[in-house]
Amino acid sequence: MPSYVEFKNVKKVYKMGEVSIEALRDVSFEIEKGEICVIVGASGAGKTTLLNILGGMDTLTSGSVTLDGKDISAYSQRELTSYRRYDVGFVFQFYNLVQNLTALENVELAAQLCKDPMEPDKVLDMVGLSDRKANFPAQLSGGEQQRVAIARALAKNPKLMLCDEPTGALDYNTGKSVLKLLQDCSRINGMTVVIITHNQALTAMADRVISVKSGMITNVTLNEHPIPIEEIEW
Amino acid sequence: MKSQVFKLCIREIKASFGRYMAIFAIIALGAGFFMGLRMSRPDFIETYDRYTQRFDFFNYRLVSTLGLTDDDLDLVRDMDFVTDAEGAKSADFMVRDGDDNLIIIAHSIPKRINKIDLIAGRMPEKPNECLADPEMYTEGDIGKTIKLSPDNGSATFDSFAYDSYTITGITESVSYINLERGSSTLGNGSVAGYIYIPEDGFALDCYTDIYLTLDISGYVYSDEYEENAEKYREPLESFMEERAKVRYDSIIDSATEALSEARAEYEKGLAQYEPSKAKYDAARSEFDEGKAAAMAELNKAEAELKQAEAIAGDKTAIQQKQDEIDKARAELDAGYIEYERGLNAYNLRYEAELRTVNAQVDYYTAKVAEKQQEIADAEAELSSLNAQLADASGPEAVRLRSEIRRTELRINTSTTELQIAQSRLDEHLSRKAEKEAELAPLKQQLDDAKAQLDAGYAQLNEAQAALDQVKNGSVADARAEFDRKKSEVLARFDGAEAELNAAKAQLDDAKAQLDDAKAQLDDAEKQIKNMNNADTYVLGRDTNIGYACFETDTRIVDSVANVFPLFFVLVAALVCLTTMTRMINDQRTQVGVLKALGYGSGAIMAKYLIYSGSATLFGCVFGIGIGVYVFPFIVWVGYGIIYNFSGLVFNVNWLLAAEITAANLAAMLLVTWLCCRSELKEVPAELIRPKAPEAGKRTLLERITFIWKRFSFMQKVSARNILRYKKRIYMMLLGIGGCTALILTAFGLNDTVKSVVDQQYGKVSLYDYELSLAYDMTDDEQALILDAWGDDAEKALFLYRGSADVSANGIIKTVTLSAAQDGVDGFVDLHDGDEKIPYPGKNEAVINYNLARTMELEVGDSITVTTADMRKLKLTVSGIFDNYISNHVFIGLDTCAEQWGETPEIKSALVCAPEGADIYSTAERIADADGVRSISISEDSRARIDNMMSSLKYVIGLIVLCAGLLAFIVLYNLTNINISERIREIATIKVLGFYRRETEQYVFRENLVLTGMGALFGLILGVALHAFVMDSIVFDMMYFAPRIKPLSYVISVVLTFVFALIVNLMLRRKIDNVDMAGALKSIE
Repeated sequence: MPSYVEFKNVKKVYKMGEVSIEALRDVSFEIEKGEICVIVGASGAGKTTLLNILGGMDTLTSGSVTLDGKDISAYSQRELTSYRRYDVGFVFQFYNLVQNLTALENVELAAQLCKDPMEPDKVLDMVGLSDRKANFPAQLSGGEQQRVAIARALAKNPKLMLCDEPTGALDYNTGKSVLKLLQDCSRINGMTVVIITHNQALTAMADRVISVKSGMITNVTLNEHPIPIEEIEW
Repeated sequence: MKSQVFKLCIREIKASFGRYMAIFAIIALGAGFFMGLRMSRPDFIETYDRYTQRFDFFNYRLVSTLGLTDDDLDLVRDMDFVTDAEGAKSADFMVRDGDDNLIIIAHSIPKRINKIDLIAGRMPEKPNECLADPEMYTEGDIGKTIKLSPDNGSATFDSFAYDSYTITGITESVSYINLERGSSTLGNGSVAGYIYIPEDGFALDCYTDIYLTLDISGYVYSDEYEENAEKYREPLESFMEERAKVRYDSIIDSATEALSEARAEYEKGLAQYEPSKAKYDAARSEFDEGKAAAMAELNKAEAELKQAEAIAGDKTAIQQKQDEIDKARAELDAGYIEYERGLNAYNLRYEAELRTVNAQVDYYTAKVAEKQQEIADAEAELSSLNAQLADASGPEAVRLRSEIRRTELRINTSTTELQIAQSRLDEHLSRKAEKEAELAPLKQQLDDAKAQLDAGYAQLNEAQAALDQVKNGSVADARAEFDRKKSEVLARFDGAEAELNAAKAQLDDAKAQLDDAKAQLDDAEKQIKNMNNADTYVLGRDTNIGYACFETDTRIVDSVANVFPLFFVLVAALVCLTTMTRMINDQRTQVGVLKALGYGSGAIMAKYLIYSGSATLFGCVFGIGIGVYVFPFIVWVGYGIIYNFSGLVFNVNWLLAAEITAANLAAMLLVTWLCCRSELKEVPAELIRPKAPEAGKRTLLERITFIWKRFSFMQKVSARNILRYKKRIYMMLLGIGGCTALILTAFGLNDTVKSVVDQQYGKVSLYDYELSLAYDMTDDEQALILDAWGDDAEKALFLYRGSADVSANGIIKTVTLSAAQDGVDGFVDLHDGDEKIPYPGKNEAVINYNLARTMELEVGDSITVTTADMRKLKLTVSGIFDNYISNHVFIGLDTCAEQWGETPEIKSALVCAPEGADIYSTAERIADADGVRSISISEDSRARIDNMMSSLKYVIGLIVLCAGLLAFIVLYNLTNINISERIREIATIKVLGFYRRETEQYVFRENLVLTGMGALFGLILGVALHAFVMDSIVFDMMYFAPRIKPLSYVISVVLTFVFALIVNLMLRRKIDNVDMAGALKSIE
């Protein structure tokens, strides 16, 4: 049986006028369902490109990507949109909440797109923002905003949750609590979570760690015993 | 440092070219539109001015109702201020066009003034050739002939030397620059076209007009021209009056002379006629008598013949008749014998009784004669003796004396004897007479018997002859003889009668001719008696229809030009405001860096000022450069439909161009400065940090839960987004609203202008014809003319109408003054909105709204009206009525009666044609009635004004186009900025999995809602703007009541949405191209 997520010989070349930049060269890896996978690498290593491709926001030059047995790399633009709509949840470094919507509404914005969404109220309760539902993003702290972002991603009930430096703009403790939330999501809901970070310390919480360097996979480690966030220090 | 800023600025322009172009474009549009429209009228007027100079358009036209002579022409040419004068002839006539008649006015070909412009063919060489009107004839008609219709009156035929004229060319004329050809007293009154014929083509012995050119400086329509021209009016008027008197006298003299000659001729004719008539009458009665006698004879003969015919063939009857005759003859014979016996007896008795008496009478008769002889002899002797005695003397004398005595004695004796004889004779004579008297009755009896017998014999013979005829069977011959005789007689009489009848016809003819001549003479005499002193007119250029129309028409463009562009400058400033605000916001970090590096606020601001300033400057230069040609040209194309002179002259009013540029620059730089100022106040540290995103807010709408609940989630999002960006709302409302308002105003302008005629002729002037009449319409005359019209006039109103000056509040306006006896109901509807205005009472006046407006009059104000013959009326305004074309004052006739002591002559009439009648053919019949001097048809005026308004189509199209462009720029700019500002939001929803359509809708739904709001706001704004524009278009002669049709509202909104949709379509790509990954990666 094939893995839940499979990257096979994925290559991505950006053409900038005369210059071609190989963002990814021959990347292959798998992620199993329900895993927390941390993709780690220095800035410019190609990890964001990887995430973009996995998230259906970018196309690849060659190779193939499959999720749950479906070939994402063969999708048209519209199919990619549907894919993003139904199968993927995103969490960004800068939260990217819609400023003009309250916390609840931001979640609803995502939820109303899906066929089988979670109850937005409940999701917000779940991420611990029961009191802040009616607040606008500008009235929330960074951590709270990121929780809303996570709630927004969760509400769609996606097959895959992609997080791009989710703690990049947060302080240590807040970052930790956000990661805790993500870990809990995976553990409690069986969600497949992919986290991109440059912070090696986070690898400890993952079931699978993929190291990226200069557009190549340097190492894939399976963690038999991931450590709960609370115990990780960095 | 300066060059660095400059470099930075150039780079900035390159980087944000679209934004730069938005400012450039809106400025170019605004400046070009303003400049172009403002220059339109000056360009048109200059073009017209050159045209009038090229063809030597007249300055003054002199007209006299009695015509003008060569003497007049020479004298006026000698006036020191007259540059040139030319006599002209003109007359109108009808030509057949199918079943109708068209009216054409013929002019003599001018040589120096009002020169014509031959556009095809050649000039006429013969007097029966002509040049034709391009509006009626084309080049293909050259060689055809224009024929005077047989329906023309003799006066018309008398005016022309020929009955038809051959077209040799087509010409335009400075006298007819538009489609108007004026009016005529013929036919239905509207002239369809002109022709130019050589002067010899007319049979007129005097000029109808004299055209003058004077040395008058100033453009057409300019105040300078009007003032300069006005100076010469008075001397020309007094000249004309003086000449009119001369003309009048000479005409009266020659007419009187001709009349008396004609009358003499008539009388001669009459004198010849009367004896002929008497002779005829005598002959006639003689004939009648003769005929009657002959006929009686014939009738008698015929009766006898009939009798003979009746008995012919009947033997017993014949025998009986013969027996009758024989018996009668026997009786006659017996009678005759008796008569002869009586005669013998008479003769014997006569012999016996008169023989002695006769002998004695004879004796004494001889005796008397003898005695008389003796006396005569003795007297002769006595006179001879007396003569001798006179000579003799002595004894001889003594002897003579005794002799005389003896003779005398003898005479005495004889005389005595004669007396005795005479008495004897008398005695016997009386005895004889006695005897004869005794015998005379006997003689008479005998004679009578004889005559009776003779007649009886004659009758008998005749009867015998007739009977013999019957016997001999010759009745048929007799009949034939009779018939021959009869027909002979009848033929003789018939011939005579025919001769008599011919003579009678001749006489009647002569009589008719004489009567005719008499009538003509009487008529001529009446005419001479009634002939008025010549009415003279000194007419300026403004009486030329083309000249007058052109001014009014072009003024509309000017009015539009004065109002609309303001709006553009306002919108341009707004566009600049948003653009610059956005730009400065975008570049806070850069500004912060520059400040941190130590650049002063001035230098930083200079960049932005140069940015917006240069866009404005280039925009102005470009816009004005293009606009000054394009806009006048487009409008000119519109006017070209009506005005036939081409070759538009373009002008640039440099001062105005500089003003526009300066105003735009000032506005844009001010806006830029205001934007920068607030931003530059902040400290560099603050500036380097990104500006916190605008916080979300609950909107008012959410409080109205029952509406909010009904919204779908996405609608809620849109609603909140719309209300979130206040600045954007205002911008959209103003920009879009402005666009809608402009379009609405443009269409409203169209509606208003178009409604003028419908309002005027549908609601106010209800009559079909306005007539000018030749005589004062007394009740009798009215009855006469109404009778002549019959069914052609459904109803008619006779009233006083004339031009008059109204003065009040120091303003004087020329109006049409109407005075009617019992109001004008059914002909002119005097109303104010829905309210009916009562006809003015004594010393009151009702005036129209536009007059009240321009003269600042209200109900209750007093005005002074001065008529053309300088009679004054003092009136109180009692009502102001809705009227759209020209100015009117209505009063009652009793007002005139009171203030003037008499009522004015009623020489006008308003007439309504019956429902469904053909307006033009009815007009022809109405105008035909005696006493109608001229007719003007409402339908014609209506068409004329309609036509004039059609040139506005292009102006309106232009405004709509510019409004569309404006809307486009504003929408594009705002939407563009909107997308840029919300690029992260758009990226986010894309990442969330919004489909392309959904993403686009997410943005454009807001745009469309804003467009809708803007459009609604625009409708309100448009109504106000329209009212303002209409209010600022003030014409003396026309009032535009603001009016917008429902359809115009719809079109304005629809067009706005169309523009918005086009912009949205163009910006779709921009949304599609938002790079999700890139946009989400970081904040700026």
